[in-house]
Amino acid sequence: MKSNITYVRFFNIPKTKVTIMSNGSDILENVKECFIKLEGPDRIKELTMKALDSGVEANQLIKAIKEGLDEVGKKYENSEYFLSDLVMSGVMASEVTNLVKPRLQSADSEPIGKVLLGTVKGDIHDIGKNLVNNMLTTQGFEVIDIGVDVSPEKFAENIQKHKPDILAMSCLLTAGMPEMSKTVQLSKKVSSEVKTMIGGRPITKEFAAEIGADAYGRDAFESIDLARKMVGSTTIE
Amino acid sequence: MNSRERVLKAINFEEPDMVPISELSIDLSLMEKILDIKKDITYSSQSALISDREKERSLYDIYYKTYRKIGLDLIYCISTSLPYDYELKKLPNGQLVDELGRTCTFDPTSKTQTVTGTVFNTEEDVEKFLEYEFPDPEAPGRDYGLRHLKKINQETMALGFHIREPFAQTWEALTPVKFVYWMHKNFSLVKKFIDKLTDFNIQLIKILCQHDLDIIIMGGDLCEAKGPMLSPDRFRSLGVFDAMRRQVEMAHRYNTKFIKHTDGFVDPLLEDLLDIAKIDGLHSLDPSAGVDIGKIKKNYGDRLILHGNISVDNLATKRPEEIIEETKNVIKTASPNGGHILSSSNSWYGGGKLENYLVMVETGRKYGKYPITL
Repeated sequence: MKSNITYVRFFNIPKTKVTIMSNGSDILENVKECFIKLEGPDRIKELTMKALDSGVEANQLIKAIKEGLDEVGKKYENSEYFLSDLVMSGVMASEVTNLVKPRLQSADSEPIGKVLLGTVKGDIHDIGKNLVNNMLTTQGFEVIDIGVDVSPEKFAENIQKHKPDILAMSCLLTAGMPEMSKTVQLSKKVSSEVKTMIGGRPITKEFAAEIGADAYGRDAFESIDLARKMVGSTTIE
Repeated sequence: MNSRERVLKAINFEEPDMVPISELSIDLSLMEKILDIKKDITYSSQSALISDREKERSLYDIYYKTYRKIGLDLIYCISTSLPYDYELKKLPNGQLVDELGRTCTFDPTSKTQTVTGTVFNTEEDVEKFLEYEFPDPEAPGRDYGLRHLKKINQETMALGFHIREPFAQTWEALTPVKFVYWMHKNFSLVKKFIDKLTDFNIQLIKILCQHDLDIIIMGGDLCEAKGPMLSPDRFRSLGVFDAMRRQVEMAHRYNTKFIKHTDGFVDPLLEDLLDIAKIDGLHSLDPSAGVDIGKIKKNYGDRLILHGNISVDNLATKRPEEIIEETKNVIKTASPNGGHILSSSNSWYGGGKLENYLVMVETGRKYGKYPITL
C-alpha cells in the first residue's frame, strides 16, 4: 500500500491519502473523503480515474459521490460550509459525472428520472438552478435545463415535448412567485403525471403548499432527496 | 429641518425631527408609474452602462423627481458613469459587455440590465485583462452623473453614491463557478482581481468625494440567506475586509460616511465589518434571512448606522396593514437615539407592490417623529 500525505495550499487541510487497493473499497472511501474535504476538481478527477482503472464500477463511484455530497450538505446545514463550498462540490461532482457517464451509458444504465429545470419568468438569476442541475445530473437524473426567464407557456411546451417526471423551478426575486404559481397550474393542465418542485430565496414551504406544488426544496441538497423520492428511488444502487 | 439636515443628524447618531427615509434605488419601471412617464434608458445598478450622456441626465432627472415626489430624504447616484467617448461593447446576441468583462442581460420587469455572465473563459484571459485592459479609474467623466444629480438636487436631499464591492464584482466577472475553482487553483489570480478593483475604487472614491458626498454605499453581497458566501476565513485571506477599510479611510478623508450593503444573514461577518473594515453603517439588514435589527441595535447601535430591514419580500407579497405594522416595529426598535435610515431591505423592485412601498413611507412619516413614542 502506498501512502502519501501532502497539503492543499489554499484550503490548508491534509490531502486525502492515496490508497490503491485491490478490492476498490478504500479508493471509494478516498473519493468520498476528497468530496467531503472539497479537495478540488483536479484531485477528484485523479482519484476517479484511478478508481476506474482499478476496476471500480461506475455506479459504485456515483454512490461514493452521493455519500460525499450528503456530508457536504450536512456541513452546509450546520454552517461549517458556505455557498462557495456548495459551488465547489457542484464543480467536483460535474467532473466525476463527465468521467463516469460514458461507462454508465455503456452499461445500459437508464437515468433514474427526467427533470425539466428552469428559472421562472421575470427572473434571470441562475446560481441556484445551476447547482441543482449539477447535483441532479451527478445523481443519475437526466436534466433538461431550459434556462432563465422561462414563461409558464414555455415550461408547459417543454413538459409536453420531453415528458419529464419532475418539473423543477427556481427564482431569486419575489416577482417570480406569481409566475411559479401560474406554471404549477398550467403544468397540471398539460400533464397529470409531472410532479412539481420549487425553490429559491423567497420561497417557503407554505408558499409551495399554497400554489399546489408537490415539493419545496430549501437548497440544492434537499432537491436531490426530494427528486429521488418523487421518482421512487431512495438509493442509486 | 430639511431632508439633508435630517439625514446628517441621523448618521451622526443624533435624533433629528423625524426618521430619515430613503431607498438605495427604485427601478425605472416603478419610477415610470410614479411619474406617469415612459422612458427608454438602458442602465444597471451593478455596472456603468449608459454611454449616452443625454439619457444619463434624463435618468437622474427621473430619480430626482421620483424621490422628491415620494418625499425621500436621501438620494443615491446609482452608478458610476462611463468615461467620455467610451464605446460600450456588444456581443452578437445583443448582450452588453461592461468594462470588467461582465455580460449583462436586460430584465424587462425592472427595466434594468443585470450581470449574468462573463467574457473570460481561461485564466490567461483574466491575466491579460488585468495586465493590459483594466479600466482607468481616473479616466475623465466617471463623475458625470453625480455632477448632474448634485446640480439638480442643490442640497435639498442628502447625497449618496453607490459603488460596488471588489469581491462581488470579481465574483460576477469570473462567475461563481470560475471564482470558486480559480480561488482553489490559482488563488493569486482571484486576489489580484480584487486588489486591482480595490485600488480602482479608492481612486474613484477620491474623485467622487470631492463633490461633497454625504454617504458612500458599497453594493454587492457578501452573504446569502444561510450566511456568508465564503467562510469568514476565506474572506480574510482574500483581504476583503482590509481592502474595505482602505476604501472607508479614503471616504473618511472627505468626511463621508461609508455604508456597506449586503443581502443575507450577515451576523457572522459583523465583527470583521466593524473592527477590520471599520464601516460606519450597514444596509439591507435582511429580515428574510433572519437578521434581527433589535439585536444589532442593542450591540452596535451607538456606532453602526442601520439602513433597511423592511422586508422586500413582504413589500412584494403582504397586505398594506401588515407593512404598517412591520414599519412601526422597525421604527420602534431602530430609530431611538438616531443612527437609523428607514428603507426597504434592498430597493424598490419593479415587480413589487407600489402601494406597499408608499405605505412604508407614509408610516415612517406618521410614526417616525422624534421622540419616538411607539
